[in-house]
Amino acid sequence: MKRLSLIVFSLLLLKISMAQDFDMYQRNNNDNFKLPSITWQMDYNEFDLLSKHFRMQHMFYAMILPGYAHFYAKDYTTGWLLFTSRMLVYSSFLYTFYYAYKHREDSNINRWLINGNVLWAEAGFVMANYFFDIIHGKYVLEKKQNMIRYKYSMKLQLSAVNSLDGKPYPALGIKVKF
Amino acid sequence: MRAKIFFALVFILSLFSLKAQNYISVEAKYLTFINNQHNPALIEDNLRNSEMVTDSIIFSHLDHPMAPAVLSNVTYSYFLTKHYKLALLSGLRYFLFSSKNDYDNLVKDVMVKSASHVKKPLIEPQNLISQAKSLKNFDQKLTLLLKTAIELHDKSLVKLVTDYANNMEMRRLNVPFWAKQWLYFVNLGFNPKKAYKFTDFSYNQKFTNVNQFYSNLNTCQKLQVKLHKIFH
Repeated sequence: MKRLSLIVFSLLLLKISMAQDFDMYQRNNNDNFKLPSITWQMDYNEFDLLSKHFRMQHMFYAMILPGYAHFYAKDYTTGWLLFTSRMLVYSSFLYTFYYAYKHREDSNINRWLINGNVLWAEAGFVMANYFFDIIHGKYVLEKKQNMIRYKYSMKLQLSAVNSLDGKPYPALGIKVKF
Repeated sequence: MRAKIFFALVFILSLFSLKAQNYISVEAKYLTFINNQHNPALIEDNLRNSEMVTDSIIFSHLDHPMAPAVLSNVTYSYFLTKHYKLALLSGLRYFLFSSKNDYDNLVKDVMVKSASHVKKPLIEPQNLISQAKSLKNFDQKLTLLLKTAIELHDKSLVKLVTDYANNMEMRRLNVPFWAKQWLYFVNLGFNPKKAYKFTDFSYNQKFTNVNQFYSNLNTCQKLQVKLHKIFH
């Protein structure tokens, strides 16, 4: 009984930790038809950036596709740099194993490769590359989103100051609805 | 009764017109606000929006009271983000299209500082300013702007020249032949500096066909274009 309750409790915890990526709440089919109100100066690139959320699923995607978080944040230069560098390290991994296989009878070489610095350095680089991608990628995305929000919110606030010389004056407005 | 209805219509129309031009004053205030913060990333993010408002000022709202504030602050924004060639061109835009001279000293100062960062080609801001101030015709002002943009040899100015040439054509203004010739070679894939070398600024006839673009090229240049067409 104790074991069963522990398993059920663990499963519940798992469900909660995954909750952000699986919809636990009712969603209406018409949610996608809700049209946001955007300003006339906003281009699709900015709209697209503002619509994004960096979630747990993207951390998994970043494991498979190097540089994914930066591509997601539309920072393509860094994304391609991370992609290329990790691909080079994967190639060097393959070469290391091939080299070890080729010299398998030489115990010194195998010890140097497997227990020594080469494989650890490669694995360390892949991990560093991955963590840099998700941490810096999220930072870049949030920074870009903040700048867009700041820009348009500030312009909205400034448009409330309705005089041309910057000083507010009392006015009456007319609202017409059809 | 008719007079009252007419007055009401004029009043409503003027309200809408004030609302329509409000974005220019908003942009002026926002530009002043962010330029004072000296945050290059924030300023860089707004450059696209500023260009939209600047185009709107040049082609529709030249007499807007906040237009000089926008034109001068855009120049300062380019300077702060280290786009020195664009700062020079934007300063020229201020002297060409500003209806007031409130910001003359500030813009001149920014242009001089920007020119010191541009090694090639050598631009003298004082010459540009005096040329700009001597022009009265809108057509001639745009022509000087296009010529300076082409002479600055910068890739970021290609879009600006294209947009201004298209805007001139839409308004049935005369787009200079050399501007079309330069754009033709840039669109073929040549860099702005190379395209500038192919451009004939003395050719004054009207554009009728593409073959005119090759009229001033020497044999070597024609060969370069042919090879470029084959390999690109």
